[in-house]
Parts: sequence; C-alpha cells; structure tokens
Amino acid sequence: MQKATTTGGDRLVLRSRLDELQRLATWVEAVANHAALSAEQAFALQLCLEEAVANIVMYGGAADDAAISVEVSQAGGDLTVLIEDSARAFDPTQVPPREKPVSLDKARVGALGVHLMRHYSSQMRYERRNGRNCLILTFNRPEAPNDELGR
Amino acid sequence: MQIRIEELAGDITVAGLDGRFDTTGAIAIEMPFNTLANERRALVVDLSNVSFMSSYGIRVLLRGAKISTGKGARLVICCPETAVCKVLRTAGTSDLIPIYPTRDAAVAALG
Repeated sequence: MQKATTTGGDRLVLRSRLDELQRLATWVEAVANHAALSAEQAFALQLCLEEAVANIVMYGGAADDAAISVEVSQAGGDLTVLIEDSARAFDPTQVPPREKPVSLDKARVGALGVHLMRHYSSQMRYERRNGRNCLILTFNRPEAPNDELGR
Repeated sequence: MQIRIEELAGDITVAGLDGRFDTTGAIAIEMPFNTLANERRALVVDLSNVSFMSSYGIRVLLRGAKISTGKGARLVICCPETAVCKVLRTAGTSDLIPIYPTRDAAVAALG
C-alpha cells in the first residue's frame, strides 16, 4: 500500500491527476479509522472527497502537477474538510439543484457529483481565496442512531 | 475493477462487478461494459462485490442502460450493498434502472 503524503496534521497534497484518486481513497480510509468514524460517516467522507477531487481533476483545467490540498480537522465530533486547488474558479454551491430524471431517455449522465456531495455532507461552503478554490465540507456527528442500540 | 461474465440459460448474461465503482474503477470498465450492454439481450449487473459507488459509476450504469434499452434489450441491477443502494437511490438511479435484492429475482424478471 502506498503511503499517503501528509504534512502537519491530517493533510494530503495530491497532483491534479486521476491516478491520484487511489492515494486519496487510501488516505481517507486511514483518516476515517483514526477518527473512529462509523461506516456510514466514512462512506460519506469517501464519497464527497472522491467527487470533489475528481471534479477538480477532470474539469478544473489545471496542469497535471498542480497541487490539490485536502485537510481534515475534527472538533466536537464534527469533521471539517478543506479542499483547496488552483484550478479554474468553480463554486459547486452555485450549481442548481438537480432535477429528478423522469425517464432513462431524459436522464443526464453528468452533474451527479455535486448532488451527491450536497446530500452526503452536512454543509458545503465555498470561498475564492487568493486565486484558489476553497471548498469547505462539514460532516456533523450523527445523532445516536437507534439501529445501533440493542443489536 | 473487474467484470466477471457468466452466461445463463435463456440468453441471460450476468456481469458481476468487482471492486470500488469509483472514478478509477468506472473508467477501467466503461468500454467493456458498454460493449456488453450493446451485445447482450438481457444483462444482470451484479453489484454484490461492489463496496463503493461514486457518480462516475452511476454514469456508467446509466449509459449502459441507455444503450441496452435503445436496442430493445434489458439491463437490470441486483444485490447492491446497503451503502451502494443508498447512493443509487439518492442519485435517482433506482427510478430508472430496475434493482433487485437477489440475483434470482433479477434473472426471473428477465426470463
């Protein structure tokens, strides 16, 4: 298994290439284990980071060696993720809500990633800082789930 | 990610997907999956060995289903794990492609 590049706390720096997504997934798994996330929280974190970074790599138009930084911090059980990149300005929070497809013929095969990120994160914020995209995703600690009681 | 192909009686093909159906996995199987969707009359996509699903995976499934139904063939999904099934529901995919809890149910539906 390839060791993730980390600097400081839980921070990973990736290049803007699709083959970096595997390294991201491995790193997120380690972060989720370290933070003792539930399987559901870990899945949500994996999904949102995969979508966010894949979007930057595929549509951001940055050079292959452009850095994408992913930083995770935890406070009071809530998890905050900052994704920073120098690709073209893109604010996913401004993407209109996806319309529910009514038929296979009419279903758009794109624009799903932002829809999933909205659904699987608790909050999504965007800032443009010094020519960089900063996407801040928050994952609130889930309420005590009933299905873990008495099983 | 890999595709295991199994031919059943009644001209039914089961495509068992194996691995993470993320961007990397989906890109790896996109071409062979489209070919299967194009060539087979009845295709069951078995997701029992898929542990993760992202939007690119869903795109591949939707494109395959479009190819298949466009040719008058059929494509259905079976056995998604709970977390994967939730992604499919959240994306609205379960409204567009039939999903069955078991392989037998999927095969019976195509028979």
